[in-house]
Amino acid sequence: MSQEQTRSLLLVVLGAMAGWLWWSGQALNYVRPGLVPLVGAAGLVLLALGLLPPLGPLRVSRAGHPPDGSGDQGGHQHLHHHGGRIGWLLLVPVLVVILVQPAALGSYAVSSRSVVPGGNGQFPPLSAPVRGAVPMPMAEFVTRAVRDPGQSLAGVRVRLVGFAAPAEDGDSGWRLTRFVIFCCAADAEALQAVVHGDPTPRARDQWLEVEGTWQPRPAAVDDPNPQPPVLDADAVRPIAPPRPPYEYSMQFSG
Amino acid sequence: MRSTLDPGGAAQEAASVQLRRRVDGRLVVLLVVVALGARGMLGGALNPVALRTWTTVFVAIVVQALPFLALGVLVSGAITALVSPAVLERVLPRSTLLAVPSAALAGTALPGCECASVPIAGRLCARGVQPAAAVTFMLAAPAVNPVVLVATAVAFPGQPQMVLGRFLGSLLTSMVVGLIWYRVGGHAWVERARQRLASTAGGGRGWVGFAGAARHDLWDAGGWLVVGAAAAATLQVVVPRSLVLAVADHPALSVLALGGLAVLLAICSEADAFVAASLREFSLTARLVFLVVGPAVDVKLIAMQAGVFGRRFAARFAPLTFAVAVLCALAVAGVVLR
Repeated sequence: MSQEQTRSLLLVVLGAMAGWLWWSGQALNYVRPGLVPLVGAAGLVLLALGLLPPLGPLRVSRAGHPPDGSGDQGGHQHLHHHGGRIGWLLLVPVLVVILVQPAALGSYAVSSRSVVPGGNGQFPPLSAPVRGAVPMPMAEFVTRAVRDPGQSLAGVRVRLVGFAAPAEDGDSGWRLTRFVIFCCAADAEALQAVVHGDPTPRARDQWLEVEGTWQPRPAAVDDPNPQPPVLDADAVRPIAPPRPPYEYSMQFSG
Repeated sequence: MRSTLDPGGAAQEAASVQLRRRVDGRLVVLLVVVALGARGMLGGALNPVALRTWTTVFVAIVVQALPFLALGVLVSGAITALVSPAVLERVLPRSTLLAVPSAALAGTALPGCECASVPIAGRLCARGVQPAAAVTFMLAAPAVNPVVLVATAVAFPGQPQMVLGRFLGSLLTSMVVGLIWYRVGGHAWVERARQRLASTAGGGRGWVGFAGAARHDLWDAGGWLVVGAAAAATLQVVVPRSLVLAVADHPALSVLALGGLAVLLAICSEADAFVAASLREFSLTARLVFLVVGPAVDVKLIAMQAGVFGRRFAARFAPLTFAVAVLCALAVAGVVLR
């Protein structure tokens, strides 16, 4: 195989990886849903650049060139001398995706602090309860709990989805956690609530559906780094990891 | 980058070509097949949790960058195939003083992120665009396009001065760096990129030139993207955020800390506004520095620029851009964030 065919093959492999991530939905572990079709499109572009003539393997089979493929095109020989071997590294993400099963960020990615959205000062009415509790994203729960002077959560039974992360020093119980990502998992921020009243020890990273009531405390509208809110849980159910695994906005609409 | 530039290394070169001939595409197939097999045998064994965070962040950066990288190499292929140097010469202003601002404004029209603009800037250089203008375009395109500005407005509701500050700060940064690059004679470094790129594409027109340039840029910029993504993922896992947060109250240190964080995290310019919004411990000024520095210089970009323009270029360009971006952001913050 010539150097050029090797490169073509690498592009095909990389394109196939992007295509598979899109097709299988595993791309959701890495990027926001809006980007997933773009990842698929990028896979197609890579496959096309790798497969199509004049340089790809299709050309060789069509024109019946010897597999060595040398000696054609004026600039071709130059290609051997330029560009270096750096592109070989494109194989690394492919091997990583194959060897380490794609997974969403877990409790070990929670940095020493969990983020509390600032909110925009507007708290629309809560949505209607479903089966006895108001379902809401973690972003809404944390924002209302910490930032709403009107205490719209007081006395409301809510239903949250997240995974278990260990408590920080001083907390009892564990922390219900969900990551919010904006573009990809590299910009993830952790949203957390301390869960009280759950007697069962929970394994790290176990996904849970939690129902309970917010433990009211005065709003910290301007505190840049407030403590996470506390939820008195009355029902905790292990669930399968949700799809998609992340939340995608710090904002919410009622 | 390699001994290509040294005519005396021809024998060595031939030997290494010989070696590389043997290390060819069959190795790719072999590695992939072995990995697929090992996956079945290992099961979940290769999943220590700390490694899992690293791999998720690493793959996320690469996967997230792929669409923009693909867009970038398609545009750079089109530049090679369709835009002849003669056309560029007619279209572009002759004077650098005019070319730099127009390059900055041209950047506002490309809705991509950093990964797209590096290969495009390399091709523009190869096509005879003045290096100062190409560099300005490279800095402006990811920072001031409409998508990024809308994202910033969404991330900072009720604070339109952040959008304005970001727009002015990044535009100013790109032009100041372009003009400095012109004055300080960065021509020589970019000249090497020009020669390398010009010879690789073989000057072909039509599909041959298009595919050749696109594939070459994908190979170069993509390989370095992997290096940058690995560095950024490592730094994200290793450097605790609390280290950065500790200096939030100090006016000067907080600016440097967020500038440094922008370099280390290598967040896509379309997402960095949301991260900046969450860094509520810091002043708006420090967060504006984060937004202006991020798209201009980060570990991923430094790696990609080293690939496209050469290591010597990157070693000079990165510190210059960092300093200019911090100063421009501070200047704009002094005017806008009052």
